Amino acid sequence: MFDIYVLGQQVLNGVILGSIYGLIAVGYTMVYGIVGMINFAHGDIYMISAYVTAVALAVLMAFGIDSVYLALLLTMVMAVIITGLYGWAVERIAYRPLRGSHRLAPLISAIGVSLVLQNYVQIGQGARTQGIPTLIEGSLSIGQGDSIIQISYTQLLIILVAVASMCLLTLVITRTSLGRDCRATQQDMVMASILGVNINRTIAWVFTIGAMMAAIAGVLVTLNYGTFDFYIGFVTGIKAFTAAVLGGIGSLPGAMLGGVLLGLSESLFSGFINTDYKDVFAFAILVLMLIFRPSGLFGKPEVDKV
Amino acid sequence: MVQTTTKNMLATMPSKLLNIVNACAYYGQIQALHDVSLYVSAGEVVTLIGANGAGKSTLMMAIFGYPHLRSGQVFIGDVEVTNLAAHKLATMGVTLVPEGRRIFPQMTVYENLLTGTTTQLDVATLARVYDTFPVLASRKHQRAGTLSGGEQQMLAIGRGLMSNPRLLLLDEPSLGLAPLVIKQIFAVLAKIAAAGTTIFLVEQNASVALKFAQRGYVLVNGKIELAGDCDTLMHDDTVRQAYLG
Ligand SMILES: Nc1ncnc2c1ncn2[C@@H]1O[C@H](COP(=O)(O)OP(=O)(O)OP(=O)(O)O)[C@@H](O)[C@H]1O
Ligand SMILES: [Mg+2]
Repeated sequence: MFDIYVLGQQVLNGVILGSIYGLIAVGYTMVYGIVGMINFAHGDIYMISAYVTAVALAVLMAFGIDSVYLALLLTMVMAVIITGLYGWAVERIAYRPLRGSHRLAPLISAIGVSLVLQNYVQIGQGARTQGIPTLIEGSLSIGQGDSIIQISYTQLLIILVAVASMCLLTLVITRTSLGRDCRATQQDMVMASILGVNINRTIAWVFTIGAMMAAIAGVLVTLNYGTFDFYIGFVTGIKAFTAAVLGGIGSLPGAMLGGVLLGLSESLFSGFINTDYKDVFAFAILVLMLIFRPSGLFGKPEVDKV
Repeated sequence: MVQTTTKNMLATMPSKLLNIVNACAYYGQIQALHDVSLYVSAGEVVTLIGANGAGKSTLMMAIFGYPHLRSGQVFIGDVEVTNLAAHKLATMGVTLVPEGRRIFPQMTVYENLLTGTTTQLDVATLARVYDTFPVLASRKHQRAGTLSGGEQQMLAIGRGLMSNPRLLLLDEPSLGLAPLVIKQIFAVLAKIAAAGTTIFLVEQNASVALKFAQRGYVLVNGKIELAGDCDTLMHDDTVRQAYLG
């Protein structure tokens, strides 16, 4: 029954799934790090990106761009910019006006934004599951017959783009003045502002960058699965949130690592135990983490912000 | 109306680099500052002394809008900055070395210094700061949270100097430091003042502060009780009893 090739395949699938979770999780973790709150509209930001992907591809095709890779590149750029603007808007609408009020208020307004986004897409694009055609065919394989590990070129692209995006984000956060402003604001908002950091601008950037990372995930997932609907943000959002909690919410490397961990365990669970309950499994991890290790697998106990 | 105009005219006298007029601030229902007025002229070294809880730090922070002034005004030069977004003051050449240092513990010493710049990093300024506090140079890649208290205070002052401020605000730089370190730090501050930087110093350590500054104010329960030359204050009976032991 146990088969090293099945294991290898599930590990591979898990890493790919996990890098998607990681890309979305960084948005949760960065926003939590800077404003101390969960962005409940983040999953729907990711969903928006799937729709932007489909629309952008259709538009590019209509303009007669027939190189798949050029089309993908342009789609990625458009998705990142447009979805980034949605992230920016979430901060302006749901968070900034309520900064300094009771902690629950922005959470409720973010859930409101989440519902608005879902319904707005449902009305505008229809409730049916939508799809895009397969753009990249073919795969690499190791072994033959039943003993085979396969990785499609799309999956390969997912890993490459995810790793590149994570590296780029890490560079921005650790090496640029914007990244320094983000970290200073996270560690002491008042002092950062006294030293000349424009807090409003920095927080807006954090929401925007988080949305941009989710946008990349949205494009990649859409390429891989081809289908999506207005509700995909919910389950994927909770899973990415679980990944952020696993890695210790507020920690950037934690979110990336947490994503891969969750992807791996989910993939192994569905490969060897049960596919139908894989979502339940992920949610069980979330609940257990929140009860027993709310500061994450690697983190020290979180000092409560605010 | 007439009164405000007079106030404004006083405020616009250019020699006053910092001018606080009738500042009132509250924490919830509790009033922490009662009509505080004071000024610091360009080139001066002025101190504000007072007991624990007098409202010294509140005044310092209120310059940046934390807490907001419920009434009153703050001017930098002839520009009114009352309750302006704090980050705008940094670009006007105002820097605070806050109570409790408030360095960024997770960043390196070098990155902390960078947070003090308001424009591109000026290499000459960085060299001057390292020159003033050699320990910062030798620890530049160390996480700031792992520095000793005295080193952190030096970092906080160094960070404050990175923008070459016109006005340096210092809130109890001597707090919790050994006498030798206090001496070192005040020697550095004297040099900075001699180089032309205007200094407004809040201190609980009145003997140090009154020796260091030219003019002083005494804050009691959120009100200015006394003001004058440091020499005069030092020999004032109430000051001697209350603050100089
Ligand atoms: N964030 C706050 N919320 C409520 N009350 C505060 C707050 N900060 C200060 N206070 C109160 O305001 C008053 C003035 O405090 P402040 O810190 O300005 O005093 P201080 O003169 O700086 O004292 P110290 O010499 O101990 O630093 C005190 O009674 C203090 O309890
Ligand atoms: Mg104080």
